[in-house]
Parts: sequence; C-alpha cells; structure tokens
Amino acid sequence: MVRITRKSMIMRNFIQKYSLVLLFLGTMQIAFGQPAALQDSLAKGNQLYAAAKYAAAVRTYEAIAAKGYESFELYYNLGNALYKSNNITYAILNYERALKLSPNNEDAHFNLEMTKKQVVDNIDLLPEPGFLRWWHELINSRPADSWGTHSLVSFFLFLLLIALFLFATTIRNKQLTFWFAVVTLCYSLLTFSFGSSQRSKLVNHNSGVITERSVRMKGSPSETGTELFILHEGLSVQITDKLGDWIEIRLADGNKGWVKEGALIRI
Amino acid sequence: MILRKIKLILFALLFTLPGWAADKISFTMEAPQVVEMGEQFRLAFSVNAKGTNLKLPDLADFDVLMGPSTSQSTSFQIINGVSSQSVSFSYLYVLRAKKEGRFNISPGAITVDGTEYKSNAQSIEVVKGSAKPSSGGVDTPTSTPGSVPKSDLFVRLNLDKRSLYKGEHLTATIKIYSKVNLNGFEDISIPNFEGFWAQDIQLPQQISLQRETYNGEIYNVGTLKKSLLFPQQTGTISIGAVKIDCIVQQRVKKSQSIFDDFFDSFANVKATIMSDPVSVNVLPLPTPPAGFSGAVGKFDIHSSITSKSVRENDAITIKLDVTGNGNIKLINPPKISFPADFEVYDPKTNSNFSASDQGLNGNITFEYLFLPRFAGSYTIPAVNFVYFDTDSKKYVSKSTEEYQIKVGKGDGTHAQTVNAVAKEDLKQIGTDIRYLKTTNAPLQQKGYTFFGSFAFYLLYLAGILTLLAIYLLNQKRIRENANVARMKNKKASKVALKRLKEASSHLHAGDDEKFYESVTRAFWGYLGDKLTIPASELSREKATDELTKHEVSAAIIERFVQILDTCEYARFAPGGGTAKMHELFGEATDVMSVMEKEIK
Repeated sequence: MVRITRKSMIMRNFIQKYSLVLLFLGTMQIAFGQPAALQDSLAKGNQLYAAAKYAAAVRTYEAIAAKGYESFELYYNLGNALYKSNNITYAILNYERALKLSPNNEDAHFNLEMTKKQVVDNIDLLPEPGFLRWWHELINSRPADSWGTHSLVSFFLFLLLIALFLFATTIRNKQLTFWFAVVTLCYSLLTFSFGSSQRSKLVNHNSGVITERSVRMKGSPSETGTELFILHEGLSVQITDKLGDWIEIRLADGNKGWVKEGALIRI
Repeated sequence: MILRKIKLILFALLFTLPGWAADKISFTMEAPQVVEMGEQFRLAFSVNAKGTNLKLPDLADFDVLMGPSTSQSTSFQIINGVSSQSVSFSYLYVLRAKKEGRFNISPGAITVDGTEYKSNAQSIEVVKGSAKPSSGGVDTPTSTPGSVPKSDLFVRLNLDKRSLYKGEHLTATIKIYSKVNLNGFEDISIPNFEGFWAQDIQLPQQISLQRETYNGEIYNVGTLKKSLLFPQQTGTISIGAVKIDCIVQQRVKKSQSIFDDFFDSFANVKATIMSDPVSVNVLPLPTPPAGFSGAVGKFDIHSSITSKSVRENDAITIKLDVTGNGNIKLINPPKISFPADFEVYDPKTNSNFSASDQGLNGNITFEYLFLPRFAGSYTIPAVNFVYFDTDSKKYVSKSTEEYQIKVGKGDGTHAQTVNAVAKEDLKQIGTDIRYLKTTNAPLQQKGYTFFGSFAFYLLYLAGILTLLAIYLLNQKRIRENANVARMKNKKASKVALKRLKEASSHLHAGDDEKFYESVTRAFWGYLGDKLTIPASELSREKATDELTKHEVSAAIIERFVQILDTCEYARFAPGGGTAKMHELFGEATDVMSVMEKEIK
C-alpha cells in the first residue's frame, strides 16, 4: 500500500514536471508565435503616426496593449501618439511604462521630461545620498532580463571555474580557479538581486500616475481625513500601501498621504 | 383755359429740354399697409406723365366710396442755369374694407403715349376695429388729462434672436408705438449693450412714423435705432431698458363754454415710457479646431503675393483678403508659418464693411510684410482659415494657395560691410518630442520577463547538473582506472612466474643471455603491473622510490637492486657458469615472493 502511494507520488511528480515543461513550451509559443499579426498592427500604428493621424495611431497601439502584449517600443510610440493628440497624462503613463521595460533609454527619458513640463505640480526631488543614488542608478541601468543574463552567464563561468578547480593538478591552479570562482559567484548573486529588484518593480506595479484633474491627498484613508495636498493629473507617485479602496502614496519629495484608488493608474 | 394754355406752353418747352425725354415714366400705387375694419382710406395712383385709360385693379374686397378724383401738379425749377420740370398726375380713390384679413391689390395699369405701364402691387392688412369709435382722425380727449395710457404709447426693444452662438449677430430694433399725437422726444436713453460689440445700422435722419399692427391694433410706429449686436461673452446677457421722454400733444377739454367744442385747446404733456428689459442666451462655440481665427459667419478667403522671385533682403507682401458676412471686425490675423529665418513684421489689418439687416458685410485684409534674409528656395505653406458657419453650425476651413519663393543672392550691399560670415548661435526654433521607435522589436506578454521564468531557473539547474554529471563521470573513470590497476596487480605475480618459468627453461637450455633477459623482464613487468608504472617511466630510481612508498623493506630493495645489477653485468659479460645462474634464479624467486607479500 505504502509502495503504491509512493509510486503514484513519483508519477504525479513526473506529470508535474512534464506539465511545467509543457507550460514553458506553451509560453514560448505565445510569446513568439501569436503576435505576428500584432507586430503588423504595430507597424500600421507607426504609419498612422507618420501620417499625423495621431488619434487613430493611439487606437491601434492601445488595441495591441489590450490584447495583453507589451514592448518598450509599443509604450514609447503610444506615449508619442498621446502627446501629439494632447493627452499629456496618459503620455506620461506610457513613457513611464516604456522606461520600466528599458530603464536607460535616452529618448524615452527626453520625451518624458518634455511631457512633464506640462504637468501642473512641480515637486522637488528628495535629495538622496550620493552613494544611494549611484546604487539606484546602477540597478536602473539595465532591465530585469539583462541582469538575468549577466547572472546566468557569470554563473556558468563560475561552474566552469569549479570544474577547472576540480581537475586542476597543481596547487597554484587550484588557488587561482577557486578565487576566480568565488568572484564570479558573487557577481552572479549580485546581478541576480539587481534583476529581481527590477522584476519586482515590473510585476508589483508599485508606482502610478494621477489621472484625475485634481485630487485631494488625505492624511488618513477616509473621506473625513485631513486634506494635505492638492495633486493634479500627470503626477508620478510611488504606491506604498493599500487599505480597502484607498491607496497610500509617496510623492517624490517624500510626502505621504492617502488617495482613492480611482485617482491614479498603476504604471 | 389759361391753365391749359400754360400747359401747352410748358409742353412745348418740355420737348425742347434734352433731359426730359429721357426721364422714365413712373407709375405708383399708394395705400396704407394696415387699416381697420370700416375705416375709410385712400388708394392713390400717381404717374409723372399724362396717361390715359387707367385700369383699376380688382377691388372686390373693398367698397369704393369715392373716386377717381384726379389732380395734377407741375414743378419747374432752374438750378445753376439748368432748368428741369416735373409733372405729376394723381388719381385718388376712397375705399373702405369690407372684411378682415390680408388682401393683395394687384398692379393697376395706365397708358402713356401708347405704352402701358404697370404700377406696383400692394398688400393691405385689414384688422378689427378698435373699441373706441374712430372719429375722422380727431382725437377724443383722454379721460385723465396730463397722462398717456400705456397702451397708447410704448417703446419696444425687439431682438430677432434670443439664443445664438458667441460671435453670431442679432439685430436689435428700438421702435416706438403710438396712438397719440406725438410732438417730439425730449430725451432718449438707450442701454449700452454691455457684453456685445454693437454696430449701428444707418437709418434715415428723420424718424418717420408708419402704420403697423401690434396685438391686433394699429399704431403709428417709428424706428428709433437699429443695431447689429455681436455677443462677446457666453451665458445669459441682459440688456437694460430703453427710456424715452416724449412730448405728447393732448386736447384739453374746457367745458365752460360751448365754443370750446369748436376751438380746441391743446397742451403738451410729457410722458416717460420704458421698454421691458430683455435677455439673450449666448451659446459657446463648439471646441474650435486648430487655426480658428474667431470668425463667425460665412466667409471666403483669397491671397495674393507681390513677388515670388526676389533677392536677399527684398520685401515681399502677402495679402489675405477675407470677404463675407459675419463678425468681420473681430477676425484675428491668420497665422502664416513663414520659414524660420525670414524677418516677418506684424500684419497690417484693414477692414471695410457696412451694417445692414442681413448683418455685417464687407471684407478685411491682412498684409504680411517679410524679408527673406538668405538665398534659396522656400515654401510658404497654405494658410488655413477656419471659421464657424452659423448656418450649418459647423467649423469650415478654407485654404489659400501655397507659394514657392525663389530668393536669389543679394547684390552684396548688406553683406559687404562684414568680411567674415557673421556667426550666429544655433537658434532653437521649436521643441518636439523624439520620434517613434520603428524597430520591429518582438512583443511580449504583459508582465513576462525571462528573469524569474521557469526557463531561467532551468538554465541554472542545467548548469549545476552538467557540472555534477561531468564530475560524476570523471569519478567513475577514475574508479575504472583504479580497477584496471588492481587487475594488473593481480595478474602481476602470474606474469612474473610465467617469465621466471621461461627463464628456467633458458637456464636448462644453457642459453645464458636469454636467461638473464627473462629475469630482468620478469622483474620489470612485475613492478610495472604491481605499482602501475608505465613501462616508459620505469627506471631503477623510480622503482626504488615506488617500492619505498609501498613500504617494502630496505633489505629486499637492496636484494632486488643486486639481482638487476647481476643480470645487467652478466648480459654484458657472459660466461658466469651454470651454478651462478641457478643461484640467481633462486634468489629472484625468493625476492619476488617476499615482494609479493610486502607490497601494499
């Protein structure tokens, strides 16, 4: 009896493993098979934009996004089309989304700055210690996948060095490969942590753009809360907490407060 | 008789006057527009030449009480030596309306010099008679002298529209309605049309009263003012009241004497009348498209240019001419996108219009003076003139033509003063966002990152597993190699014994050279297999080292070396005798058996 259950457990494990492989293959197919038509409509959107039909271009791009697909180019071009059709708030939202996928793209940064000039609220950035800023810039310099590749490649290098270490015959070679292996392992772990930090930003959607014309930021998550600030549309904020349909946000200058969930859209 | 003679003389005179014959015959019919039931009124025909055979229009709806009574008048004047004469014949009928309604009187006709001329047609509105009996145009004294009843004298501010778009026009008319004998106005205060841009419509200097009906009654109506109003703001705009101080002539009845009935005495009474305030609802225009110039109405635009081919720094003027009906005065100059390095002056505006009941008609011109500063070919794009059409309630866009301008090199009068090219800072003429990304990068599922995906972790696992596999394979190989060594070790003594047997057969055969060789090979082969030393590496030193490592006692090693030495010595110096060979064979088997025991 015990043996049978063990056997079935093994079977189940096998199916689980197999289904994961299937799932993996499936996602690969979705990621690379289906969007050929969408890729065409992206090109069509670009043509509409070039013909100065910005509203139509916006609709085309948004249709692609509505199907659950994204890319840096899609968000960037959508941001451009929205800017041209004078929809500043949503242009900011899409540039921010584009920058999440490609954090160090210069053009997207430029356009975002251009667009932000038309936002009412002017908020001074909270000064960050030099080291921390450098650290965040370093993490932000690459998207999650790029850090992931770094981590993987250095991990393979680590494994190679371990192999060399095992087969090394002289003490000197053993020492050399051992220390190199330690260094590559550290690099792999570091880039892995960078990657997971970038991925968490992408997956958790913990920032947003105010989309209501003007919003009163309250001191507590209720209508009767003290009004702290009046925010205007287009402002980018960090989301730090959620309680019911109230969201705690943190402004770039460090101020915190609560707004209704409907007042913003998560990036 | 005398009259006739004069007439004849005058006729004779007339024919000598050159201007006379060319005068047109005019034949007109005149009647009041509005009459009351039972009221007598006059229908008059007048002609400026002697006519015959007057044909009356159909007057079946009216009673002809009297007529025709003819009359004629002649006037003769000399102005600055030029004499002119006019003659007028009139035929008068007195009619009375039989029933209420609106009646059209068709044209009458008259024959002058054999040609028939037709008069104008006329419509007469017959209204119900007022309660008070009409008594031949003589006013009955008012019940309260010194005041004028409101129903007899009032002023109205009429607007032809109560709801309109901002910028559209409405006509405001101020009319005075009177049944009394108006003698004049003392003070007219007209509201300032706040919130509007007002343009007065020209009216005759003299205010003439005309008969009109209002609420079924006949009044003498005078138009005091007519204005076109263009609202400048949206929402409800109220217009204040018109206030007029009138002087009314009233008959004052004095009942002391019976003569008073014959000699009426009149008194001037001052009456102040006010209109009701009115309000207008002004609708905002729909969201205007780009290039909207503020024009509302119906317009046409065309442009002209003074020259299309000039030299550097020569002035060119583009003239835009907007013609039409609407708020002409309020049109902003359309923007022309001149090439960036042109020197452009502010446009000069010139407007010319006239106000009428139909609105403001006319044109406005904008003159743009500019100087191309550098030679080259330039395009001045078409001007898009956008206005709001009040009929279709839509924005209409009209374009002018595009101009290609060729600017030739200047004659140098401007450039000669400087030898070097005047350096200019890079001029930023506009800001724009950066252009699209047109690279066809693949789309991904939302929220999908390779990082953290199953495949990602699988690659780590694959790496670790590969290393593990390589390591295990290597271990296995090492183990297998070790087995080979053990086999050789096992086989070693067998092989050695076989070689020693071979040696003993050589010993018995007396072949000493082969004997010594076999012994040496037996030892080397034994050590190679036993200690897993490749044959190439075998040497005396290596062998003693290895044997020491394998804890073989020094005495045995000494004896082994002794045997090797003896063999080598014997191989190079044969003839040692059989006894020596037997002794060596015994020694070799002995050493080998001890070695077999001692090697670990």
